[in-house]
Amino acid sequence: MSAALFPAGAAVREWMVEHGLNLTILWDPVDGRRFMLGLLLTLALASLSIVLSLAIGVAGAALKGSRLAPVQKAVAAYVEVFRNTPLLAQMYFFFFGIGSLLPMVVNEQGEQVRLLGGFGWAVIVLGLHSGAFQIEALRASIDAVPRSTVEAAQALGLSQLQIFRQVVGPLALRNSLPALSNSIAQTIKATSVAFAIAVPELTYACNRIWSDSFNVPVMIQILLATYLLLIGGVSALMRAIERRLQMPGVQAA
Amino acid sequence: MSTHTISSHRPAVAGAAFWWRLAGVLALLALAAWIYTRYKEPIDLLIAWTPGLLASFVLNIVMGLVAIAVATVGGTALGIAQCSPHRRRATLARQVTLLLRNAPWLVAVFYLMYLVPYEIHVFGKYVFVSDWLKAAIGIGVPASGYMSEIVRGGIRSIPLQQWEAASALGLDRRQILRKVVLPQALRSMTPPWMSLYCIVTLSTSLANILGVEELMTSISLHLAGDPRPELLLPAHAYTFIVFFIYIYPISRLSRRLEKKWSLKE
Repeated sequence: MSAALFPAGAAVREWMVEHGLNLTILWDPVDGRRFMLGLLLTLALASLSIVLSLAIGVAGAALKGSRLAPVQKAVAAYVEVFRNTPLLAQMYFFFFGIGSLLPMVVNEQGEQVRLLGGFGWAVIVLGLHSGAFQIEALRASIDAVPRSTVEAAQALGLSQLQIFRQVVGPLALRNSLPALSNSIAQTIKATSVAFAIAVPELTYACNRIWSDSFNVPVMIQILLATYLLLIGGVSALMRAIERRLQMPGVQAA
Repeated sequence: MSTHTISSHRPAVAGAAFWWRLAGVLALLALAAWIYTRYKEPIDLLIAWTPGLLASFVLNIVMGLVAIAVATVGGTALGIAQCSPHRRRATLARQVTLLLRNAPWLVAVFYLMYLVPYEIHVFGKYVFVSDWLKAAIGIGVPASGYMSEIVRGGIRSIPLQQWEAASALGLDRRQILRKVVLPQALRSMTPPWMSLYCIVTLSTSLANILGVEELMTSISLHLAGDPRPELLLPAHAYTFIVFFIYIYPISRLSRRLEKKWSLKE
């Protein structure tokens, strides 16, 4: 893939190396593959953990509205624990602490490995971490639907479920979009912490590349630029969705 | 919180809330006792390590203070620039803010670590820049993007009439900001600033990845000296608890102030 990506030949390459632009990911097949794999893993980590965090967020927001005090307390405790401890400590706690209790299995290469590897734990921890923030955001966007709107729906004779599905839900969804966009950006940024448990995502891949090819200054710019482009792209996409879903006369909360 | 409001409105429920609370406390005590019997040896060991571990946590606190100082200074300047009447300056400040907000903190720490030399030539002297200081600045720089938004929000929360009244008194823009707008905005800026301090202090643990000897590195070193698998879970729970004990009261106070001050307006 490196040759296909960079067909311009040796002259340009030499010129770049001479000027300190030792972009090995463009011509070294090993580095190129590492980088692309890292990018893919970052995307996979981010999307899987966002899905998990949304599931946690919806469940948590529903449970938070529960009438049972212990259920509310349990949700609040979960949110507090995950918001007030370092993400890195959470990674270590789950990967090294709980992960060491898991049974060993044999993988395709015939090696003894833990049931859940670094990638699996990273998805779980990132999901739990941003799920804690998602609960608050979703709850706030449900609460932001005006009371009078719910009363009007009740007056029309809609059932509880109908009110949620056809009135509160769609409005709350629109309210939650800015916060969702923000939390997606946060999650993409947070995936870099999976570096600590040796998941070969973008940061880890770049770290390996610059340790092997001695091109720290260039690779670190590429790494930063890749994250900025990724997050910028997702934010632009979310803004477009927001505009598309915007209802005339209704301001986002 | 919620049980208080319920019990004040409906006294009949107070009995149930009391029993729930008692059951909760008992369950927690039972859990603690079970954990202690299950992990007696590791817990005793961790208690023996505590003085050394807490000494390394001091470094986390110092790094957090350096980082919030960097973020406060840089972010305030950026936030004020975002509200500047010069369109170009405001746009530039907004773009820098966005860039800082979108940069992963770990990458920012790498950036500072690798691209700032360990000795800097200042006033004819070589100043040694230690790793922990670089890591702290590496956290403070992206955090200033958040601070910039806090300051912008604070300035925007002050009604325009305040600006008009102040300029009618003959104050220039700088004076208005310093003597009229920012002092009033302080109230709405303090709670999010405290939350930012919490986030920044939590993130100082990232320095662990780069070998700065803060709490988590110290734990790992202790573990390396005493490699027993049954130590792993309690030791990593320990960092969790230390950070939580330090951060939770601050974040709770921040939320209480936010609620209190937003009700008054």
